[in-house]
Amino acid sequence: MDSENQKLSSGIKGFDEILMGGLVPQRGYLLRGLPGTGKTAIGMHFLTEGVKNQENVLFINMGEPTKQIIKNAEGMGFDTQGIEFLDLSPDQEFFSNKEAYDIFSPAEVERDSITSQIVEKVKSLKPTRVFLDPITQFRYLSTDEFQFRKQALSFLRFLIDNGATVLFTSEFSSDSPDDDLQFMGDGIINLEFFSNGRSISVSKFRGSGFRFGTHSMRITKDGIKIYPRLRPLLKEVEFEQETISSGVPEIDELLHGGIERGTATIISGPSGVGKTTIGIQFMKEAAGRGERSVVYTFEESVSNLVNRCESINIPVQSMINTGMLSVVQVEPLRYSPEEFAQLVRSEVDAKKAKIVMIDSTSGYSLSLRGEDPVSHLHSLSKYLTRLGVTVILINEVENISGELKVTEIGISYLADNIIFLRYFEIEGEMRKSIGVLKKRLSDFEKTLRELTITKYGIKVGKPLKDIRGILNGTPERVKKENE
Amino acid sequence: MSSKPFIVALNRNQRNLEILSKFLEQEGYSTLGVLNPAALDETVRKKDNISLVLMDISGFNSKVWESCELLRQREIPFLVLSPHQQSAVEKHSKRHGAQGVLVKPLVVKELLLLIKGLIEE
Repeated sequence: MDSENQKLSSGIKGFDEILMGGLVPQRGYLLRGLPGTGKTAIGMHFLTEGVKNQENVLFINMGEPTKQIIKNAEGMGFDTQGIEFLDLSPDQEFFSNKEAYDIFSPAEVERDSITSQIVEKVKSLKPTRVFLDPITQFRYLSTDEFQFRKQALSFLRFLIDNGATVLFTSEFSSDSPDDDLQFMGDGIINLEFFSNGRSISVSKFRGSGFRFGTHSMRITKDGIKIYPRLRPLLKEVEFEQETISSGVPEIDELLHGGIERGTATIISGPSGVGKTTIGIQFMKEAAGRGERSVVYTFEESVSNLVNRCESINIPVQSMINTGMLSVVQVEPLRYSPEEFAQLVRSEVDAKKAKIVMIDSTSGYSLSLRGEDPVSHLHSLSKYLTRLGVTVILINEVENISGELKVTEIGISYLADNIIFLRYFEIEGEMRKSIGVLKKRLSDFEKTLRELTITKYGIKVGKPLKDIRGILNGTPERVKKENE
Repeated sequence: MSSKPFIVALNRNQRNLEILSKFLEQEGYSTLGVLNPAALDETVRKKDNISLVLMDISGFNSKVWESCELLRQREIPFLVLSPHQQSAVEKHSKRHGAQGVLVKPLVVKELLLLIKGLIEE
């Protein structure tokens, strides 16, 4: 049975997470991807991690020359000291025709020499980690597919029997598939490059479980960063089940006390109605209790948000200064949903944020690269609520009035609570209302109330019992009996 | 004088000659590589102990067939090595006395067996 302690770190935190602790030692893993997908960089992480642990590590380069590999690796911040290279790449003599030949196939001429160099190096170095880039070069050293398979298998067996964990890359195309190598590897790691980013997935991992699905990957100047897809926690973290007040008594009355800790709340409404303000109001109250909150704003700039809140008596700047609030502006298309989830996760894990607000859900869907933003938002929301974090999702609806539509991207199922804000026009005057549509953990007030936002803060009136038709967009005063 | 069978190889690629010599010498043959037909002709005229000539025609013009004629006149067996399977090459080779035409890349084991057979003949 495997435990995390018996595993070998890949040198990349997020990758180890996908592999549930790391690679199973003394196995061979196929790292497959088209050119530029980050295979060699992952290999460098794997080897430098070994060097860090005082292991002997070997890079067998059959494609790029050592000098080039070192230059590229150092450009990404890798320290290549301690990595032993066995350079089997063609040298420039080959190009200048001094080394080129055609009388026999490479399989006849090179194989013996390459094999003996590898055997000699492995026997003398006894590496615990070997990175072979790419193993597909062996194809040219074999007279046929059968010979290649036999040679590649026995070569991997030789390395593993000599104590190595092997990461080997393949170069494949539709004309030259690598299905045979996929059968040989104890694990298969797939790297892909899309127009909206890079991804990594594991499709086979003998002897261990792994995190299924595609995960976001980024190649940075500091090497590879991997952002595993967020999974809701299997076990809920224990936290105090309590109701969080908004600090506005009338809103609390609508919510029968407030929203519960560890729930997700959608605040929905048209543009400019006060959704963000209501959300920040919960954070203002949290700050008063000494709890930290974080807002991820996808549309509004931090300074705008601060100024706007300050002008209605919500002291956002001082909340930021005292560390009770963080406002993070998310640049469009900078993050994949997995990267964004990691950002939120680190805020919650390291800085203990208790309320997370995403402003807005449509901004989230538009700004994050990748497909299916709603399912990622679902995962993130579930992950956070199970940690006891209160999630506020700001949702903008396009219609200023008319039939009530809670959300336009089908996310109402994510919410434990739905607070909605509406404009309504009565006697030629545009006014705002606030109501609660759903509350999973308690009853709530079924009436609408008038909402006004003034320089003194949020004001919510008594239930609007004398007006009907706000929800279908045709408000009218209820006639009293004597009228 | 060496009692090893003496094989002369014509090839305009030095690396081909080196590899070929390596395999032949491992099998106990003595070898000499020449880079052009003129050098081959000169060798043929000077040496009388040539057991076999391996003649790679890649990169040479039709004058190479004149060298073949010289070998035929001297009754030195030779094999023509060609980069492609072509009936014209086959026809010319046979007409000028070649024992056979082999298409590159060659298989070492098969080549050695063929050479052995020709020399023993």
